Amino acid sequence: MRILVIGYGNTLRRDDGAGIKAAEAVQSLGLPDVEVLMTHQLNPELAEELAQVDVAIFLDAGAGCERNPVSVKEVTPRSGATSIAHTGDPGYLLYLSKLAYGAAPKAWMVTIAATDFALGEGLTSPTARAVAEAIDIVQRICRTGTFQGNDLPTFTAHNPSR
Amino acid sequence: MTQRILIDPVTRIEGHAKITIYLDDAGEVTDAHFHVTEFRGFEKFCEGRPLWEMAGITARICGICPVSHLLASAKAGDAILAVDIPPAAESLRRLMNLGQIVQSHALSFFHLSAPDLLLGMDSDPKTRNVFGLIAAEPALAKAGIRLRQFGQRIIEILGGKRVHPAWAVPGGVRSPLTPEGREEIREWIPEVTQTALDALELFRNLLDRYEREVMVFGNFPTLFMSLVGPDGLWEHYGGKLRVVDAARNIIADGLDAKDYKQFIGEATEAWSYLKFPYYKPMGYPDGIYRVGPLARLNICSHFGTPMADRELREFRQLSPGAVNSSFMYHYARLIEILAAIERIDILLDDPDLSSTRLRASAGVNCLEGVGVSEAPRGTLFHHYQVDESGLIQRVNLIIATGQNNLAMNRTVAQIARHYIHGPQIPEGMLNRVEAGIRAFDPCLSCSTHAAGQMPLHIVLKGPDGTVLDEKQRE
Repeated sequence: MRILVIGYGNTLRRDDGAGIKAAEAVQSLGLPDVEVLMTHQLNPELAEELAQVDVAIFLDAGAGCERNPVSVKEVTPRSGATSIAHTGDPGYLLYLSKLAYGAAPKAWMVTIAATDFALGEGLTSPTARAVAEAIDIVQRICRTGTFQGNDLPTFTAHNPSR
Repeated sequence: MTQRILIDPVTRIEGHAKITIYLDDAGEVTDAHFHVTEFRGFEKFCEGRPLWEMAGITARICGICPVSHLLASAKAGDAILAVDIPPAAESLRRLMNLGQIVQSHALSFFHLSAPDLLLGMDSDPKTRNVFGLIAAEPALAKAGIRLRQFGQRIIEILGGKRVHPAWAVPGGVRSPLTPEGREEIREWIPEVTQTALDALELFRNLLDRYEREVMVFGNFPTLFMSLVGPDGLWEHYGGKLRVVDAARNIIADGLDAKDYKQFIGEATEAWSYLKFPYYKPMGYPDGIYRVGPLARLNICSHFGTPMADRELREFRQLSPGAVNSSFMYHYARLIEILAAIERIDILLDDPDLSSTRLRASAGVNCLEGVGVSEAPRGTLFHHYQVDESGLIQRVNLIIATGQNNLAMNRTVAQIARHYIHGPQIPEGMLNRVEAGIRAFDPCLSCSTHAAGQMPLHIVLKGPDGTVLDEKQRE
């Protein structure tokens, strides 16, 4: 099972870099058959890489979900009209992957609760703790290729920021 | 009393922005404002940071054009160190910038603008996107993705990272091009050249369909500014600044970027956080000028490569003077992709790219430096002041999107006047207003920040401020 982990965000906007920080930590674990990418934004060429894996895990910061430090939801290909900016979202990328390359992996969105998006480096303490939890979840998904909602006591599909 | 039509935010551009169109009592457009609504605090954030970190930090302003900031920052650092960087380092920086131009222009044309152009401005907005494009023109759409990938690979091969490579530094670059990297890039050349030629052919064939848009999408006389090389050679990294008028008369030439304050003023308006740069000798707002692909093509005399020069000759047939329609930014972008590919191909033969003499070492020799490069969207200035130990005291960034701010506002007003009569906006008309902005390919995260995405929100307000109509495009 080939797995692609994509952490994205802006590390110069404090908690917005949570996805990157989590991805860096996952990369340092050296998990077998797991490729890790860090990127500022989800750009269209990632679609080709997504088409070549069985499972994708997206790691991002999310505002407005402080009650759930980490939320996980399955992402499916989505053809929307609004995600055609310089950046895309996971559903858009999966749809692009399916349409342009004929395959899209099973995918999970792991959203890390974030509160501070001001200019600056480093995460707030709650977000740093959430990153640690997100890393654990990513490892669990990497082991089985899937995620059960009751794996998380605070499971939510909420992801309002992207 | 006036009525107001609000398009908030603009979709398919980077960052936060909205458009307000003002109507008079008769429902006719009187004015339009392209707002940028998020404050830019980046310059303040940089104060106190070591000069040597600036290239890496400023590259993180934007996920689309990090290389542009990287290079302008490194050049400002070169000026502060007061060094001439090794020739190999300059060639490598040029190679990376060319890759950046290709990938950014490919994103702009194939992903953002081609759906409008190929599927039609009045086509269903639900399918007027890259997915609709793939369905209608699968080979073209995939080729566009590959073209962008090519540019990204160059950046990745040189910088070791896909985005934000802290590779260019004051005094040079960190690493050379490996033989494997050189061969990989070379293998791409035939495919991406063909993609660029096909896209140009396609665009030319589309022009008849968009005669009206060509006439009203930011079609007005302005000045144009860009870097230019010796004898008017198209330039993207070095050279001096040149300003031409709408008839392509050179009104200023050989301008040194370090003197930018003598010829560029920065006005502000209460309704936007984005500044309004203007050509100082002509005052504000008469000193309106445009930068970017259209400006570079209006300014240069030649590309110095055969295919791009052939395309430039054809481009010149559009007008005896400067090509003034902003719709032609698309055309200029495609020609620049071709030119960049040709230049990359030539650069790959340079044995210096594998040199290990890549960095001039020096301490702080000047307390101030200005770096300039041509970003995909236009001329980019980084101006730093440092203390004796190289800590940043003051930063001023003049970004391409900002320099097109006046022209973008005027473009919106021109399109709105042509298409909007009354408070109801048909979808196709709305999209034309947005498409006029997209022609400039603005990257507002360079001036503000893109934190997430926003749907298209339109509010129509009557003379008394009440909302007449509201639309949201999810």
